Amino acid sequence: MTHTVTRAATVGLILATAAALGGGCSGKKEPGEGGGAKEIDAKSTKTVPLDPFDKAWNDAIPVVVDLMPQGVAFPMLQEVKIPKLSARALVDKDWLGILLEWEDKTKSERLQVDEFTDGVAIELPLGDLDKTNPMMGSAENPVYLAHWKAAWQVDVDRGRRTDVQDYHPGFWSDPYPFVAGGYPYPVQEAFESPNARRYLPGVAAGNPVSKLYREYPVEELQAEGFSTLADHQMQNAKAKGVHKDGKWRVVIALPRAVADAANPKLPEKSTQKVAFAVWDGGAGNVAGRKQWYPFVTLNLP
Amino acid sequence: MSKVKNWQLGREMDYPYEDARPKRQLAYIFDTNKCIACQTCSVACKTTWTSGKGQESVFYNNVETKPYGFYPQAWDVKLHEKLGAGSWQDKEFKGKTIFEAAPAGERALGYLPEEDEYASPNIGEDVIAGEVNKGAFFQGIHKTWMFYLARICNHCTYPGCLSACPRKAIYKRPEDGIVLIDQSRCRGYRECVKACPYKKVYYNMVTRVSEKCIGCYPLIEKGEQPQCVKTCIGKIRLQGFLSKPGEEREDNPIDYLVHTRKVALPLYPQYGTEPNVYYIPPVHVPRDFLGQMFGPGVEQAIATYRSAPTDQKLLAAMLLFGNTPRTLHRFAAEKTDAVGYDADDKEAVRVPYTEPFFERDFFDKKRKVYRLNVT
Repeated sequence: MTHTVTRAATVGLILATAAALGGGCSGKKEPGEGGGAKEIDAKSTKTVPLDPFDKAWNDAIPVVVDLMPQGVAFPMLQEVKIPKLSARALVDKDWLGILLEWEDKTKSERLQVDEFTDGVAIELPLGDLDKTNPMMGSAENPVYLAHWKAAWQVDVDRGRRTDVQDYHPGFWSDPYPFVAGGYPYPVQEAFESPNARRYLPGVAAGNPVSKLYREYPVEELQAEGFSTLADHQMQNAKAKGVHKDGKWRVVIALPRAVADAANPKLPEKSTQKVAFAVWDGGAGNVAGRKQWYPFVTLNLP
Repeated sequence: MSKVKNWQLGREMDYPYEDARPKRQLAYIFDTNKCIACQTCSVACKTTWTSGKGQESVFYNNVETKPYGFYPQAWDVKLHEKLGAGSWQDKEFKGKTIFEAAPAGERALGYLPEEDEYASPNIGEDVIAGEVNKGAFFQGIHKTWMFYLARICNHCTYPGCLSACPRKAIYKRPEDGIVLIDQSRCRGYRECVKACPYKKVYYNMVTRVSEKCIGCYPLIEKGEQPQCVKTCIGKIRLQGFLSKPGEEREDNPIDYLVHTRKVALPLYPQYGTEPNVYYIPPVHVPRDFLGQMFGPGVEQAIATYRSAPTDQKLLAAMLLFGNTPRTLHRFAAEKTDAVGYDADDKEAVRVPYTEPFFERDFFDKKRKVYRLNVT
């Protein structure tokens, strides 16, 4: 069975077509084929798989949302490149896993001045479920975000690849200040000393975006409104994304109970809400230039 | 959008934030007539700030040859094509600034350079405008021209980079107007790279965040001029502080040259960011080209510049260039010397209007050698 949530559904106007397609569908349908419900019902499983192609995901019912261009905060998206996103959820004792799927013919995983990465993010309220602004929350009702990026997936799968010689194999350089070893001075090995790190300003400043090592390609963040996005000191989420046949399949797994107060609590038989954002790096999507969908109810068994 | 006063445009303009001028504004004057493109400034800056991995194409300071030099490639030509033509009427700009021409969903009109456009820092170097006919160089004054344009961040009063940052990770210091990117908060969106009309914000592919000229603020805080200024062998640069409009002081060398004598002009003021690096225009370049580049005050600036040899106070201000590492807050044109004073109003430099002439004997009796006639 597949559920479809439209933009109109969020304001109480359920499209007749969606309603007509809802209910009575077989479990064999693929995401995007229709459906009328607007809630994601997480299914219990023994262990939430991080592999987006694990068969266990077939037990969860995908919900498809019609993505909208972000048009409130600068910079805005003028044209939707990713029209639909499918989401389904599995839970085990310790983890909530959400499988996100969308079509994107161009796999964008490089970061250069003119190259942007594909990505997806989920957002959950940390305060009042009904009063939280889905657009980055507010001081009274902040939000939790988990953000996966294709470029970070490359970091995890193949080692940190945004190095000068990865993009420019013939690039020669003399030794950098305080660098260790020899040419080509790979960033993960040659810049270990504090003095060498001083010449990597973002790294020296402790910017999470500049991390040289990344265990999982996902970042946990918190926001209390536009421009307040902040990295969690404790990073507990896991993720894995695979691009296959013109489609991204990304699993983001959140711990259900952690010491970090800035994480959502996800107890049994609870109702949560989750919003989505998708970036098409090949289309120059970055920052607020994204497709998004506001809160969808997420029921945990 | 807020309405802010841009004195360089002679009018109010739209800007995403309220007017918040700093207490005093970091400002520079570059004399293009004296620059020889030796790139000592570029090297000094690079050695000091951007010698790390990922900063290979980051030049907080560069010197490009106009009209065919650019870094990144064709940066001004590309923006002009997007911005379209404007005009000046009685020193009021009638066209649209980058903020007023912002496309839907954007804070400012800009473009993101392609990676390849950063590949040739010295493209167009020493290339002249037009052709030189055979023998022209031996026939007196010729019409071919080029000049060197040294460029750093303009620490604009209304920065395009700052306006476009969705993170608000870029800030302008209220104490001195230096524009900085918070390296701990930037998320590498490159909105600033796109919005800076001067393309003086760079993306670091290794740290994955953006970087820009920091105005050598550790030196500024010690009362010293920045590296690019101190190391300039042509003595083309002077760094100081520009007062708020209406609070100018004639004994402040920057105020005097920019506001009082109007001999130094902003680069592409029509962009609307109110840049704070001021250029003494090259005297030999066609005026229409200079007008596009420095605005409507070019003729007056050049005429004033040419009067410096007989204008003692103007000469005094210009002799302060490159003669002290200290930042000068006051100057005086004394009878025989130009004198500069630091923040504590202590004399920091004294430069004679006329360099003393020493005549030595042709034969050095001590060493028993004849002296060669060297300069």
